[in-house]
Amino acid sequence: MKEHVHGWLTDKMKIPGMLACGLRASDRKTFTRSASVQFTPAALEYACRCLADTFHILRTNKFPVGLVRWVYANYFLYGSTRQDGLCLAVLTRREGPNLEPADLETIVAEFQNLKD
Amino acid sequence: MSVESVKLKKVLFVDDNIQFLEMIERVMGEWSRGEWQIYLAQNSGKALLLLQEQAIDLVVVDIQMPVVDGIQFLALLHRKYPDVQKVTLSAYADDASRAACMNHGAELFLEKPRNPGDLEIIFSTLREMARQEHVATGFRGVLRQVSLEDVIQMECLNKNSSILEVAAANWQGHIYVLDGAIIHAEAGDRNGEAALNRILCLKGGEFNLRPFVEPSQRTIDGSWEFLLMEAARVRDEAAETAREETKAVEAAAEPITEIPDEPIFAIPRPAPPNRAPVLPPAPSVSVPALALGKAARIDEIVICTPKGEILYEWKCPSANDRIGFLEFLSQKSAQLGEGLNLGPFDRLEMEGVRQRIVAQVKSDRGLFVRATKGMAVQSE
Repeated sequence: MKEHVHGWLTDKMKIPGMLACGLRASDRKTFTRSASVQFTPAALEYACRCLADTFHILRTNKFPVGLVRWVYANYFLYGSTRQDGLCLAVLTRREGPNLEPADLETIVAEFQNLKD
Repeated sequence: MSVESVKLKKVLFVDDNIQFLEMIERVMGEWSRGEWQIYLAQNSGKALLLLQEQAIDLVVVDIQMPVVDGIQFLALLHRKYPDVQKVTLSAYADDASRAACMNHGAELFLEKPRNPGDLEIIFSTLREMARQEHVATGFRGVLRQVSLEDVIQMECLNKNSSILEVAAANWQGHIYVLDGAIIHAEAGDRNGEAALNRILCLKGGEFNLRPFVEPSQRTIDGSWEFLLMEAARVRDEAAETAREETKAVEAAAEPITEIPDEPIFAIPRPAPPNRAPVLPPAPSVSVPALALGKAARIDEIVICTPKGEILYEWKCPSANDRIGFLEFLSQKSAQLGEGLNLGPFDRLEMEGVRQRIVAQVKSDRGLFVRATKGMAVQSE
């Protein structure tokens, strides 16, 4: 994963409502960013791996989805994937100061066009 | 990247196919990077010998084996070594085998890998299982029809320290008990006794006792006996008020709209528990909209029990695959939620170009719904 990709992800943490985010490449290299000690790098790496596994399982079942949302009591974990296997994870609150849908749309669109 | 210190785990693979075992030893030995000590057994006899000699943490059994098949072996294993974690592998994941394995103590039922990607997923799943610390004392089981007051009383009388996590219909609360005293409660935007009373007013839901962690604040200092009595009084008053309001509404002959406890899906009522597919008229179903999404026309539905028995299916081309997916989701959602402390899992929503899928795993059922997008517009 190149430096500018890290920079892009770090930059996204400035968006209001972003609690944590991560990228996982097809070679399993993972890069994460968090705004809280609650979301440790190890837990975020695991979340990225879960997302990659989910997309893999969905492809195996012939469901080529590009965006997933894990809905928990208080949080949303969004995931997006690309043809090259790069996965994006975004964690936000379900209520209160959460990520605006337009911001999420922009992040996903940028992620899809990000040059690795 | 973080480096975790992980205790060496002893993992035993039981399979009559020596090539498969050798491949597993080679690949998983490399992937586990020294975290696993791998043992191999080509039959149940050798496996039992190894179990006597070694403190095995996790056994992975192929259920199609000659002489003593995997399910018989699993039953034996479960009787003799109930504390050892057990996983079954099968090339043919049919419902009967899955149910038999779960009934005989298997914690997971996995399909045999067909490609390197499958193998990687199996490895990840097993590694997470192996990493879970085994609880050496205490009981595992199911409590039915137990009141929260009973649980709190038990914790307080035993002078325990714990967090009672309570969840009901997209809502959760926590009660903190330290050395047998209730020191804090939180529920939504409420804290203290107001939160405690709100939690204890719940008519039903799920609870989980978790290890104690110091809360961000301490909001309660009364005796637990008084607190429980006060909560009972508040609950009785609320019930009385509700009865009076109901009477008033009935007297005014106003139509009442019933609000379901869990307003997640408006789905056709499940059929009786048998495998006969029921084909209702094309249902008009509303799916919770994914971000940026719209409501959709339903293409297939599967509802199953936690053991993977189908309760209802509608236009589903491969119910076994869907149940397999729900099992995957069940494991991953729990591990994800625990790792990031996200609270109870509700559902996974998946959005493709033309279709949307919603999968939900609850304590009493699994649900898989696939829909085609763009039929109508509805926001969450």
